[in-house]
Amino acid sequence: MNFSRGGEGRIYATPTSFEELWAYMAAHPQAKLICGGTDLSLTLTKRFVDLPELISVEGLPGLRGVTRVNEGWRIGATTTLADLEAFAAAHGPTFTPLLRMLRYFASRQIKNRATVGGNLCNASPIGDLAPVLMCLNGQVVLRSAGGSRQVPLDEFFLAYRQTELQAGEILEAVIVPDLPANARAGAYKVSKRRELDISTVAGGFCVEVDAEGKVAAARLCFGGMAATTARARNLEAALIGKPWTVAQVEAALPALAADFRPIDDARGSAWYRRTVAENLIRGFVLETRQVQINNLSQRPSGTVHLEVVS
Amino acid sequence: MPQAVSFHLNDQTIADVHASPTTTLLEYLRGHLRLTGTKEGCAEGDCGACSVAFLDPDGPAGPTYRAVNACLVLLPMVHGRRVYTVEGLREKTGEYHPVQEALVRELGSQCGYCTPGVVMAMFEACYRRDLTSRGSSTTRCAATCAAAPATGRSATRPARSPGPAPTTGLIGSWWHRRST
Repeated sequence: MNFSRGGEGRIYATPTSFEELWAYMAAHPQAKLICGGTDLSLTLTKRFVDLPELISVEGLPGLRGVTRVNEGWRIGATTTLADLEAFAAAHGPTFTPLLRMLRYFASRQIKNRATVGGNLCNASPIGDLAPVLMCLNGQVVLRSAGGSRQVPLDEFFLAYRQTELQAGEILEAVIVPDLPANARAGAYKVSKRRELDISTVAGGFCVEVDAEGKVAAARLCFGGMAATTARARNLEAALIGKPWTVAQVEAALPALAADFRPIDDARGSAWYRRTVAENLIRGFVLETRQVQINNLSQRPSGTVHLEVVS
Repeated sequence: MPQAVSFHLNDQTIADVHASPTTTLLEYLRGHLRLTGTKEGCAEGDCGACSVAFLDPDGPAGPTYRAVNACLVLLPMVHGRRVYTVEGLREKTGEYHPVQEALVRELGSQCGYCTPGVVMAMFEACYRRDLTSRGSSTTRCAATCAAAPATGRSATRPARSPGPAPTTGLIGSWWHRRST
């Protein structure tokens, strides 16, 4: 369907097949892709900038929903956050960190329209799905008329609001492997207000702990700390091979200073962001030194739940 | 080739809409149709005053209502959909929807500006099985404290669970009461 009322050169296309999609994208190379429009619509209502050419991916087949693929899950790009939250509630532990983040992600009204693909392609440094999917070792499937390719999510974000997506390419799905049995994972969101607010700092953390209790792999991903969602590579390197204990994490934490140079803005100062980022890692090791995962979706996501150990 | 948008609003057909595809549903409801029950608060999807509901036929658990921010919905997005606004909830006999009754009973409205949005968020919650995340409304008045328990009480009031199609089950029973 192609709604082009309202003036010359205006288009809002809703292709229902990929052949149609590629044809529209080729004919309108400047068109923006849209689905729920929960962020893109602000261009109209807040920045008062017109969007003359829009191509909706909402009608494409096979993009909505979560399906099982070999040893993992395929989350379709147009899966709404509300759908994903319902799925996550029934599919732990891989989806437990996502569930906790989705609880505080946005209002129900937004989650009913916002999609997984939109949140990633928007490439906001404070898109809350990115750090969680990145720590879960997510891979994005990018599809074009010429075929598909997979890109690890930690290589997808190139710069502020710039992604690996090429012209004529769409994000089709995210592949999330099953959480390894030796992995500890968690997600945290710190915002000025608990509900309905944008992250100041968000974290998605996953460490794999070997039989000797030492860190074998680590993916510590932060939103709000840099121009893109990014891994704390220096801190990860400092943790590899060390026991997953409070003391060892404390010893490694100074490495985090080399990972990020956060900015001062309305949501928090650089000092505040650095401090919060360190404290989230401290909280993560406290929460997961003895258990794989904490299912705390109803607890404020910026807080750490501790059993008092005497 | 060019087509106009058509949709169902409160079960009446709105056909052949001649408006720019970047017109928001909120602008169209208030400006063109003069249905001013749906309010504009922030126009950026935060406050929830513009909440309306539409039927999502492809939900993972079958057809389900979705409360959405009309300020962020562009007209082509509702093409072919069933959209409900606060004006459309009353039953044919004149009775309020249970969520509206509950809101009245619990004194869940103060100045009233955000109330239609609160009602539509509660309307969605009323037909959901999981209440892990309810519709949200950024309001700073005393009504918030009353609206939250009202959601919980009204949600437990209808006895049956949502059915597979809009004309059957709980959704359908409401639909029949107000339209047949």
